[in-house]
Amino acid sequence: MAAHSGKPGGGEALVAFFTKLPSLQVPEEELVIPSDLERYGLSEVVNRLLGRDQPIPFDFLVEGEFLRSSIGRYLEAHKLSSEKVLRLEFVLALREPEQSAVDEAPEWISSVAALEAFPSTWFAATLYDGTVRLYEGAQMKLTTRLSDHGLTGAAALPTSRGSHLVAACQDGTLKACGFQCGSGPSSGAVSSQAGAKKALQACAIHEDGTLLAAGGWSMEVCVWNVEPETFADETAGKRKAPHQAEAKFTLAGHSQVVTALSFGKKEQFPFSLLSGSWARLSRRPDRVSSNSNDEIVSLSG
Amino acid sequence: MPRLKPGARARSSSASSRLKRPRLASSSSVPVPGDESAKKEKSVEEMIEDEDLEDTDEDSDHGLVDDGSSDDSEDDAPRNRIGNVPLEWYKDEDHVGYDIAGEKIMRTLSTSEINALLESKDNPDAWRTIKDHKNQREVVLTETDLEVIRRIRERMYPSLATDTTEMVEFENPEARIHPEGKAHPPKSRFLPSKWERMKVKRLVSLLRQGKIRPPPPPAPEVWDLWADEAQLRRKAPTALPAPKMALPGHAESYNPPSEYLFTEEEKKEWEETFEEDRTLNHLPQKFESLRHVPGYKDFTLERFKRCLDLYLVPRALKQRMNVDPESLLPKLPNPKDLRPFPTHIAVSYEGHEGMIRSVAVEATGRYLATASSDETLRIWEVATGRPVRSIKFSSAVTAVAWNPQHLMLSVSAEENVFFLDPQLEIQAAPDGEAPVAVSSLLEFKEANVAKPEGEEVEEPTAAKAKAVHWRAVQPDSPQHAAGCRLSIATDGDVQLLVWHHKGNYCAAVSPKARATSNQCIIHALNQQKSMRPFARLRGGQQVQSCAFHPSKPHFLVATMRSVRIYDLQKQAQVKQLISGAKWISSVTVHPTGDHVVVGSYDRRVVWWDLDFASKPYKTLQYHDKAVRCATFHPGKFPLLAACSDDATVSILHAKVFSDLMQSPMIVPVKRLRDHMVNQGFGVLSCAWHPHQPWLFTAGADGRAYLWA
Repeated sequence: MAAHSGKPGGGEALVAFFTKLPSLQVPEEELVIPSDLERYGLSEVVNRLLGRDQPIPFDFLVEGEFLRSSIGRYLEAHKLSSEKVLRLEFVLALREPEQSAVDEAPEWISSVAALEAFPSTWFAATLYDGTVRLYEGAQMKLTTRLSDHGLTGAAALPTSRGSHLVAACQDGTLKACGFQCGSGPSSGAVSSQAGAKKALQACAIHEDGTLLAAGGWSMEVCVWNVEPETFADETAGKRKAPHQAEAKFTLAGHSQVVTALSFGKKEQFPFSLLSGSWARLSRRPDRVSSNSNDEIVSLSG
Repeated sequence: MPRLKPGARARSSSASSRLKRPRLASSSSVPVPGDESAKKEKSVEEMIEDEDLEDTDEDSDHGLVDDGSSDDSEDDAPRNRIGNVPLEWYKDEDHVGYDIAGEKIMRTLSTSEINALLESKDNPDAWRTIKDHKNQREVVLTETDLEVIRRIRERMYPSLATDTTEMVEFENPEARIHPEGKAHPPKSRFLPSKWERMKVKRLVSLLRQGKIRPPPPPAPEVWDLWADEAQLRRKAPTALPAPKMALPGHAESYNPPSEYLFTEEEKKEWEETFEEDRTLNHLPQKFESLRHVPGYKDFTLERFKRCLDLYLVPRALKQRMNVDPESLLPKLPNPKDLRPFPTHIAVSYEGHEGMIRSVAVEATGRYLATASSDETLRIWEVATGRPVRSIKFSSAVTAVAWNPQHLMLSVSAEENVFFLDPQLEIQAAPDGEAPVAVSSLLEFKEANVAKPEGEEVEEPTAAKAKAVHWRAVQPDSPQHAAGCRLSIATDGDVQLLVWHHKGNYCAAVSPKARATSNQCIIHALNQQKSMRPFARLRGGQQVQSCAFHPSKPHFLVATMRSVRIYDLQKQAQVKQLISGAKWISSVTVHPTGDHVVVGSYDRRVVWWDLDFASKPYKTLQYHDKAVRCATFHPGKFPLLAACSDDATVSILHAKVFSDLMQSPMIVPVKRLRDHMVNQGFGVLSCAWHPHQPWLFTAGADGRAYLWA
């Protein structure tokens, strides 16, 4: 691993390192290194260049993608010449995640949703006994019962104060609830959207917060409008009966259970709802349903 | 020119020669003997007496030119003894032949015309002189001769003494060339025979009818001994010469280079190998000079072995088939092209402690029920593996089956069959027709109780079948809390429960039932009655398994050796499928309804095509131990699974073609191996997901898996 400039021979490559990390800058020289070096070897080279006592593990990116094989194999795969300089960006390597805390829930957890935009410290987990548990970091902060039957899917939309959460329930209704995440988290009133005949499996909220969608074992996707009472606060007034809403429209077409729903980013899919099932993935723009069928056989969407 | 012998000597029997000295004086037809008549008569009489007309010693000079070169005795025979040799051969010679003594007969007669003219003028006898060129003499015809000639020309007998008896050769059939009568020969003699034609026609018609056979060819007079030999002789085997002996190399030298000498290990190795396997017959040795070399003691032995190789060892060319073994293998498609089929475990359902006897998946594919010998029945969510229900019974649960139409189960736990409502439906549905239907289905109908009371008075013995009673599960029993509503007491362990696709009939098989009619019972849910259609099974064997036909009202019953198909409406047997298997374990019908597959305890999976006769279409053996269960995929995937006691499940791609020309294509694609053998049992049951290519397996190791 001599850092000398010269022509690379067989089994060597010409690389130059750079980084965006401010504290770990390296002179951008062209180095000739053996081409069978992988991440660990390259990390050693950079540490040598930095002259550190404690070596830091680095990870390397080529053209924005992580280098996951040796340099020689990368050059062969992309048919690059070893005499041309390969610019490698190095970043801090991510370690294996360590388990910090375990919270034992009384029932099986069906899904987890992040309540804030990434990176989020607040998470909600829906359980098969119909409750939702809120976590901040590793600690469980709040438990709310949304239904008597199991909840199978959840989706959340971050709002100014907290988040709106919808959960698909096994009795065929979509439960919606607003949460305030803060020092004292609290939940709003639970409203339910009916319209599906059988148990629901997946749900989604539009980015605007205007539409709710859910699909399940009735092989249909139901779409609801979001009304002010959907995510009402508890303090807005006690209601004798929880709010019930009917579906705006129902989309049929799947032959098997619908297990995944997504509205997609507004810029890319302005009027679309993607739904995945055990048989097909189809994309339906709002109002006009034209299917583009890609066959995906998968277990859970 | 008529052959006239000189009248004196007569050897032949010609008439003229008999005449001795006939007179030409008289011109009457009969020579009148004049003065010499007495003499003549005498001579004639003498002649007549003499039978063998030998030459008589008389005046020999009759018309002979005496040239002195001939003797009397020679007049009888021709002078020239050349026989039939033509005279032309002598035309250039000066002689014309040879006489009896061998002397040449010179040409003396003149042949010129002038001489002939002079002769005719000078010689008064020239007109009756004949020149005999062959014998070179002139013969003067006597009066008698002339008389004879005249008579013959006038078509008279030559003389009175002519022996007319010998003129016509009556005894010589070859001389009969003239017709014997005046009549014309009949025309039919020259035409094909009418009678022969009739005979031939009759013979031909008989031949054609086959009543007579054409005559065999005549046996050959001469038998060719060697006629067949040429065919029998086969080509002699190609002479295979003995392999050439290797030329001596450096190791055979008396002073080889040192590298050819054996080291100690090599020497030991050489001694240990067999004589036939050794590369060198001897140990290489090094000598200083040729005179130190001792005699080779194995010389005679080697020569003897070589001689044996040369003349005593049989050698034959090994006939090798130059068939590429790859070409004999059937061309099956690559399993990669036959996807999808289950390959790996996707979900495992953990919780059972004992062997899982049976596994059943619900019609929508959402729930899975497993029955185990730890006396529990568990219901799981298929996608996640979460246990939803766990129902305890009082004895090992042996079989379970979901109703295809309603969300309910039939479960068998030792000697009872239960109908169970697991309460899995959502009660909060606004139009809750479905949950109401299940519980109303399972309401016990009291009306049926009245009838069996009358029958119970008879008190049948244990050997006879007891009437099948439907009972309500007691509300205070734990089973009722779990959802069981109806129960039926059975005779013997129920091993298999199968529902009809309309959801009204459930067939229960208990092979160990004491009464034959109890081995296969069909329970009707709506009417809450049970039927025993097979009171007396022909063959008298145990019922092992049963299946409903997917489309027709047929019911398949598998006994130990065969499968019988019954028409339930007509109450008659439709077909019997005979397998070579000794003990059938399970039977399954293809969704199209045309193919039946049976798994058996002697490791075989047997496939019948119902369009054919009762013999199997294919028998497959892919397992080392008993095949417990074989099932077709009930949906659109062409898959067949067979699970066995060696804890593996074989997945076969079984493509059935709708056109009748192509037979089903069966290709083994995967073997699933994650189960473990427990007490000799492997995988006990398998079931396909209704609409996905996923397989559920139940193992004796207490594990149930979803393979995807």
